[in-house]
Amino acid sequence: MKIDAKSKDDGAILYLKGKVIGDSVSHLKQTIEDRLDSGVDWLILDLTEVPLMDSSALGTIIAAFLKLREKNGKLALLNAQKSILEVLAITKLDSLFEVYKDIQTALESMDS
Amino acid sequence: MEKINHTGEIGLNIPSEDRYIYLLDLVISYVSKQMEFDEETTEQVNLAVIEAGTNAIKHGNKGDPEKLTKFRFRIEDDRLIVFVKDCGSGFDPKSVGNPLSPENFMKPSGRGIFLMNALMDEVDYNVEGNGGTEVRLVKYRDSREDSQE
Repeated sequence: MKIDAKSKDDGAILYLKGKVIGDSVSHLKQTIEDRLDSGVDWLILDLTEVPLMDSSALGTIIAAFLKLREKNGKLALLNAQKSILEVLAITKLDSLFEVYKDIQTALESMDS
Repeated sequence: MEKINHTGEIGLNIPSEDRYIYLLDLVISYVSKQMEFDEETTEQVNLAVIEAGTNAIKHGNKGDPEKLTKFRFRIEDDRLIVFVKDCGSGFDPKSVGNPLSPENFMKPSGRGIFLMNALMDEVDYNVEGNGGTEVRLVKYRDSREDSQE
């Protein structure tokens, strides 16, 4: 799994590519923690190229969501694929995370 | 690719390190193709078996690469049965709380078993104490509801 990051204003967009399973969850966790340590107020995780994500990865995203929420920050998911939307629905996490289909709407929600 | 049109069994033993989950993923994909599962079913089986494997590696074998996590994929006419075995001291699956309950919902962990149950047709456990835990996951070629009609 590969992660490209793009800083924007007071937040960052993380572009994930590949399955987020096994030791790639540690890679995701470290990348998110680095961004949180640098003081971002929001994160958008672009999941366009993520076909599969396990529950450990979901846990990493929940932890990031909680840390950002503590300082009135935000976290959103972008372009989650059908298999991931199914997992979010099963776990009811679709009621916790904002999921967007286009980057512009996601960015606007970070400002609101 | 030649399809397996008879019952058969494929085994995979991996050191208990999470980087080997990728090897497991490859084998599951191969077996799902042999089963002629559709895309949605393949994704469900992939995630459920990865959850079982990750649990066995992390919790059963405590990430000790000297301990093997063992998988068996049994292909039958109407179903795939996957066995996942660790060398741990056993656990009670009922001790894991419901991740949908308010007290657990925001916890970062505790969703693996819940997902396995939701994605597979049957999941059960054979706890052997010091002999470890074996999880059995079943997926039918057709949904269980259809096959029982």
